[in-house]
Amino acid sequence: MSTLRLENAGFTYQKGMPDEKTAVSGVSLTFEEGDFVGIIGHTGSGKSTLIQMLNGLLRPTEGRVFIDGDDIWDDRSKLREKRFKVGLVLQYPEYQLFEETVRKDIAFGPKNLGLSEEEIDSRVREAAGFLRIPDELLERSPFDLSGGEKRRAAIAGVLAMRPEVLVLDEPTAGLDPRGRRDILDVIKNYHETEKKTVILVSHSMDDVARYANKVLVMNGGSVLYYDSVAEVFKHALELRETGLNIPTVTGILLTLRERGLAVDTDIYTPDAAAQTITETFRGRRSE
Amino acid sequence: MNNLIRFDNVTFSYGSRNVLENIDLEVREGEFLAVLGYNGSGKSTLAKLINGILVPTSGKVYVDGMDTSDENMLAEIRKTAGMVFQNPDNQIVATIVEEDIAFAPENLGLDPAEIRVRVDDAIKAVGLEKHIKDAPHKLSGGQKQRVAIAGVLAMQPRCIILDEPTAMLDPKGRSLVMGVIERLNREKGITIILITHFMEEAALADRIMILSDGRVAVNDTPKKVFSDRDRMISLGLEVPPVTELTLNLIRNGLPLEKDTIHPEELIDSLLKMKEEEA
Amino acid sequence: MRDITLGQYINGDSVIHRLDPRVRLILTLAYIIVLFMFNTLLQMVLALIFILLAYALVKIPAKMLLKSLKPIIPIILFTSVLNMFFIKGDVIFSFWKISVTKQGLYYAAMMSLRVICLIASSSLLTYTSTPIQLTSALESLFSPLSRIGLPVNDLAMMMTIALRFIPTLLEETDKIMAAQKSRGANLDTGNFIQRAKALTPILIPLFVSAFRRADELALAMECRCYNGGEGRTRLNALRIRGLDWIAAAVFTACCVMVFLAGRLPL
Repeated sequence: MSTLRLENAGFTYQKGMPDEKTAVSGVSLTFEEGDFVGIIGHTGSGKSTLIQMLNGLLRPTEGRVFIDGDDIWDDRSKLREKRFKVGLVLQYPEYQLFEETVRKDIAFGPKNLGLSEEEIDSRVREAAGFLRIPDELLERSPFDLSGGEKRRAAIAGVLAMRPEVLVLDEPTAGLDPRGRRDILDVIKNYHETEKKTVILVSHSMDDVARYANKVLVMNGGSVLYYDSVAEVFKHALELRETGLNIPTVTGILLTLRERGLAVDTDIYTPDAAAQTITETFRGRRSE
Repeated sequence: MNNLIRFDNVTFSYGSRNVLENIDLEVREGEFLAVLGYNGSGKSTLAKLINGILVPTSGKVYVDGMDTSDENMLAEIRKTAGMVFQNPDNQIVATIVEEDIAFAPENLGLDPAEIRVRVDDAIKAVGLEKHIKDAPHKLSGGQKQRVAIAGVLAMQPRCIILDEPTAMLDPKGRSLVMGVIERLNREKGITIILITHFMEEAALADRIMILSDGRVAVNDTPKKVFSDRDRMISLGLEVPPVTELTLNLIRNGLPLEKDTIHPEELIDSLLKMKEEEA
Repeated sequence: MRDITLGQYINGDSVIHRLDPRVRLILTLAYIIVLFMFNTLLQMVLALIFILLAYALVKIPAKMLLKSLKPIIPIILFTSVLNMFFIKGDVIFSFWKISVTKQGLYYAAMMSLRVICLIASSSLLTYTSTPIQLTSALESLFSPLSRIGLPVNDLAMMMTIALRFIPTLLEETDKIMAAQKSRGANLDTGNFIQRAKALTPILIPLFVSAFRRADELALAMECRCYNGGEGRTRLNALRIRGLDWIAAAVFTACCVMVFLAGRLPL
């Protein structure tokens, strides 16, 4: 059982300085094992700071972070070991590639864990498998790959550490539609087969609606909503008022309802939206 | 109307590989053209061919009648067709917003008074008057990208080519940048060539050209382009979520047009259907 | 690290801010030169008063000045002590083998004041000038050298770009370090060789990224008609105005008066 819990956690940059800036404050929540959580919020809402606290890159200036019930900052000697339970894929992760071959680059993390050669090798193969990186690519220089391939190699480098919780910060940024679909499918597939927690930071409400089962909405450094996708998108109107994007179809349904069409608005996928619109026309509801 | 940009059977190759092959393209003055295609389909090469950064291996590119392979015309060509790139950080030269916007007019050797006027006009056009004295690295991504657009506007170009200008921005920055692009096209009549991966952005254009394997696969209005969903998927692209929803509704038997690409269109036709029903 | 700004420019609209940066630069240099020409305590005190008045004009809080002086306090103390104890002359008091002389105290005070004025004046220059202003001032002052083939304009452009990209690359370093730490890179422990080796995963991506940025920037500059320094004009062309002449005159008058004050029997 691997849960990640924040207790009243907050982080202030330049604490104690005249230019101190609180990025996150008073966040208490639990990421349950096996959840697929989408994190949404404006730039500057504290998302990036929050996820850097999850794997100990930032030490909360208030509150605590627990992994499996242990405060990760309790015992400094165990910090490294604990932080590796949370794998963090930062934005544009391809910029972290540095080794001569893709294989060596993916092995960088496992090597730092001090694993045996055989174990490293099997983890590299496993991670490459998840990311659909073919064998012949493993021997190439990471700098010769295409944009999408580089991105997948970089994510494999984090997966090879076999984290209990995988956190991805905008893994599809800057990719073309096919690249975006590929990455999201890979993540979905990983989540379904491994049943491990996945936390996805995204600007695309459509993606969050399609892949996540829970949504965390950050606003001004604190939690605005944290609930199942259906519950959170029931607040679509409020979300739109805070200037956040909502799934395109939810937006359309809201406008239809405002203009007098009796459609459901707590809907966020094109299929379900088509369903409710069709029903208002066929009058099935009255049957 | 005149053709501002014309590609005449253009092929461009790196070594033995043809990145672009037999491209014919005409862009009218004042037109808004969106260019789509998966990564590596030759979109960026196309952009660089327009203002003479690259020169065709065979064929000719003309900007306002000027041949881009004529070195004497390069300054004039680049003044006519300005370029904005994907990463805002890598195209801002100076440490103060106004000095960056002044960069191109300074290079053109304009009079300081004239530069001042152009800088002020350009910054107003992108709505960043408040930030004129700021350091670019303190701005948000969307603001930086608007500074980059202003830097090109200061050349008073007739055409602006934007190579994935919103790829690195958040939704807010993206919509602000798109707002500026649309305004420049509508109000100032500036020809826009927008390379993008976002279908909603392409839906705003007058015409969409899709590149695939270095060739023009599709060249038509957004409505025509997006109504062929299967074709789009096979080209590694997608259709806007509105079109996706509309296609679902049509499958459910609602009498809608399959070339619905803007949310307002769908909403309007649904409301009209309801009225008719009642 | 993200908010780092080069130099210590304080935005303002004081008389000194409004001077042509070339004038600020030259006056600062002149001030430093005369500091070394003054040889009486009275002159030094007057020089200190002069620079303090300049600070008052810019409205920079005393705290800022003290902050910039802080790092050199040990040097001041050290040289003062040396001067006090080792200069021979009229003994004021002595204990054990050490004696403090009148001359020693005098020179200690002179030296300390000189160092303080030196730091205060150069800090004032950086408080009131942006790095970019200093660059254009240097570009303009050295422009005669372009006639003998020194690429002054290009060097100034390089300086500008360096200044522009330092914050960007620092931010990038931050990000790469965070990414590699997340993959278990151990940057903080180990001996020297281990630490140097641990830098490889940071430095390689950083270089790759810097080259990519340079490439893209060069392209963007070319698209904006950059063609080397020749024929360029400037938005904010440097211009010597009335205010600059007045400042230079006031400074010169003060210098003359202080030199004369040095002749007073004090």
